[in-house]
Amino acid sequence: MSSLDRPLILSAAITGFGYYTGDTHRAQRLIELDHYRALLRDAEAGLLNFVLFDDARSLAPDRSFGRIDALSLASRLAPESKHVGLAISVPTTYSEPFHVSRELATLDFVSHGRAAWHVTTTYSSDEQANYGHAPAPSEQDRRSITSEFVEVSRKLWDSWEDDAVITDAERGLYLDPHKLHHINHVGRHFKVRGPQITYRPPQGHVVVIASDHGDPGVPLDVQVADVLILRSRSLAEAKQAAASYRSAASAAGREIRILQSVIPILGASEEAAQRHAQELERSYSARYSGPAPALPLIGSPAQVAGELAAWQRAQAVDGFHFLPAILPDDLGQIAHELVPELQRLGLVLTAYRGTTLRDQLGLSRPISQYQGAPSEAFTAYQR
Amino acid sequence: MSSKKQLHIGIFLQGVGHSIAWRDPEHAKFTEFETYVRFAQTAERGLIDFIFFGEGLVVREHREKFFGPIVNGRPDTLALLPALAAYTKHVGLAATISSTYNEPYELARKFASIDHVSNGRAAWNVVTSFSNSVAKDSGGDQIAFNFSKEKHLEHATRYDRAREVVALIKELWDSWEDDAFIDGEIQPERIHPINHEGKWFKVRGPLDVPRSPQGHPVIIQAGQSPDGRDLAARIADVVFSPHRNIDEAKAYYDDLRQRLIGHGRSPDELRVLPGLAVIAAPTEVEAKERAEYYNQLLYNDEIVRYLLGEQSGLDFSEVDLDAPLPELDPNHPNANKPLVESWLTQARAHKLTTRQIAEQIRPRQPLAGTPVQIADHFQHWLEAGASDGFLLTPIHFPHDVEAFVDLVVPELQNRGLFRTEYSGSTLRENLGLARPVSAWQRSTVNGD
Repeated sequence: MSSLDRPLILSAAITGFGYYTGDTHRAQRLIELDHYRALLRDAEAGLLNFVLFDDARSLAPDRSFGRIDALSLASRLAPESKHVGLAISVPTTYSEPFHVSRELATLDFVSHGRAAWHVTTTYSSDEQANYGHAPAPSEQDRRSITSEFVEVSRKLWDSWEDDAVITDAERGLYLDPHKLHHINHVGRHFKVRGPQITYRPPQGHVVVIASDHGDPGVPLDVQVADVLILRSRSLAEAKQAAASYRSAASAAGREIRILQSVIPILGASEEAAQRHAQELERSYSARYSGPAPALPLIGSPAQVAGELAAWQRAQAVDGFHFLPAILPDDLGQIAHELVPELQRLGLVLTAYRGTTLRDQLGLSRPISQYQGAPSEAFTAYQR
Repeated sequence: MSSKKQLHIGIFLQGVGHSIAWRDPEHAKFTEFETYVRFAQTAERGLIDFIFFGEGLVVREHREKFFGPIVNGRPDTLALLPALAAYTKHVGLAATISSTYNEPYELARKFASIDHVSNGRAAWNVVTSFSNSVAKDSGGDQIAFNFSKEKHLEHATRYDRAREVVALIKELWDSWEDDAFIDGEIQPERIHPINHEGKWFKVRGPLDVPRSPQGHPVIIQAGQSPDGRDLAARIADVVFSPHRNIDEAKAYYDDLRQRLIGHGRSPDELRVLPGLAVIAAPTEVEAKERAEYYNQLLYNDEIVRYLLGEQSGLDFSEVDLDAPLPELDPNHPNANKPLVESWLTQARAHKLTTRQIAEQIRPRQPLAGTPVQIADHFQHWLEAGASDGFLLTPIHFPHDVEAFVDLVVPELQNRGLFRTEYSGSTLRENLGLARPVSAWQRSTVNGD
């Protein structure tokens, strides 16, 4: 069957040196634009739907690298890219929905609708030490703060209706005051009056991503996320999890896209890929204990594409979130070797379709929840 | 070129609240990203030191109602500046950000990051978020309402906190030594925790962002009150001032120089830039006509009534502007009592109409003239020691900015008062300011 009505969604993580952090050579490249520029070029060559700029709020304990704030990086590179979605990790723990939702709205503005928000929390003891004057919320509180934070952010995105700015010189109205709304949010963690001070983002709502990346403070919740990234250990497990998320989403009337994290380890042949995997494993276990951070898929590009095709046939997930083992090399391999195999199998597009990230993901553009709601316009002086 | 003192010039993209010049059909649209790109590129074409954006944390409103005729809404500056860095190479990128509603660790990493991705062009205008033009009913507390708080911090408290925020952020910017990379390889022993424990904050550090090209992004302040001037003298590289009278401006500059010395700084470590709206045209008549055109755009009766109401907290919707000021009630629960009382006193003493009272809340008249007249003004202030240049506050974009760049800049260059090319690679270098030496470098030098 032709699956191009619903092509696989593909994305990739941009995290430090990659997911097998063995090679910490030349850490300075991680603060150089050229490093990220090359990664974005690869991502667009591989028609990835989005890249995820990971971020945190402390230096890694081993001090093996520094970083650039994900928002600055994504905004700086937005003009140099055209299609790929730009997802950034932004934590909800020591920040304000009023600031974060505005920053994301503006990232969407400068990228013409390509912004996504990977919701994270600030929880390691190293991170908390940089906010030592503030309380450190429990795992459960971080989940509940995050859920409410996203809810408030969506209200703030909706607080300006799409066509609030009318610049009607005839009537002397810059904006239609009836299309701005106080959100008057009062919740357990936040009390925000609104409206936001920036326009509604091009996508209406910036795409929200929640991922299972080992932080139990992140709610993997269909109310919170538009895109859920799983870390299942097998196809069967992913299929079961995805089915339950999908039924929760349909009960809640929410659209959801579900991706599975995978670490492709590619080689010219299966043997070469296995050898490469062993090297990676050795250097990884020299630094870290525990299993690989996600499901490794080892083989030639055609073999790995075949495995992904099996997932697709089983209709387990909507796509894959690649965690490149080593950056930049493995992202290049994914884009230039693996994606062409997936194209050959008819599982992904051969050209970008749609302009915004929502278009690409097949997610509809939400209507403002305040559309048509009465608003407190200053009518006394209107002609 | 001689070593003659040269001007430093910033340009402010006004919009929110200030301007209804949007009514002019040629005014650029604030809702389009391309407008901001064009602004940055026009400034860079004029070799301007930096572009500058304000901050608003609340939509302007009056009695909980929104008002259509004035500009509201703007993009987030921290998210906008990196994108503008992609379209420019030299012009500085300055953001106004409140020290009151942000975590120091967040601000430290954001400004350091913008400095990295712009190759050393970031500047931070430190404000403490007070609402100067907006009266009681739209004051600071409404900002607090957007941040889960009931009340805005008091003036003195905000400054006390701001002093700690900036000092702490500078420590974070210094937590990586400049040579923390050798041949690209990281030197972990050159990265240091700061272990800050102050009155307001406890931050261990180090920052996760390496020391940035400027060492510290340029710090801008606009302090007028004694607390504000003291903060400026402690922390600022650039100061904005509101003065239009040259004697007042000079007195202010002299006061700041004294305060700088008091804080152990050299008087040469500061650039003072008064704000000024400039309208340039080939002839004086054209410039004055344009100024008058803006006046008509900006101040129709509807806007005047709104601004009177917003500032005073009272209702002016039915007031006849050309009749004597009515008997306002300064004790009305919404009233800005001191302001209303002052209006009443003046109106009684001088028999003023409401329209005459309204003159007081208009921004000052722009400097409208020929390139020669404007250059004369700039030169006079520079040579009198009243300023190091100006922060331009154009009323109309693109017109006023393009006219300045195309007409006034060449005149200033002919007089040797303005650069003919960017001489430095960072904003600090273009401003003639030294790159701060990090505390670690200093201690190494002393220790050796």
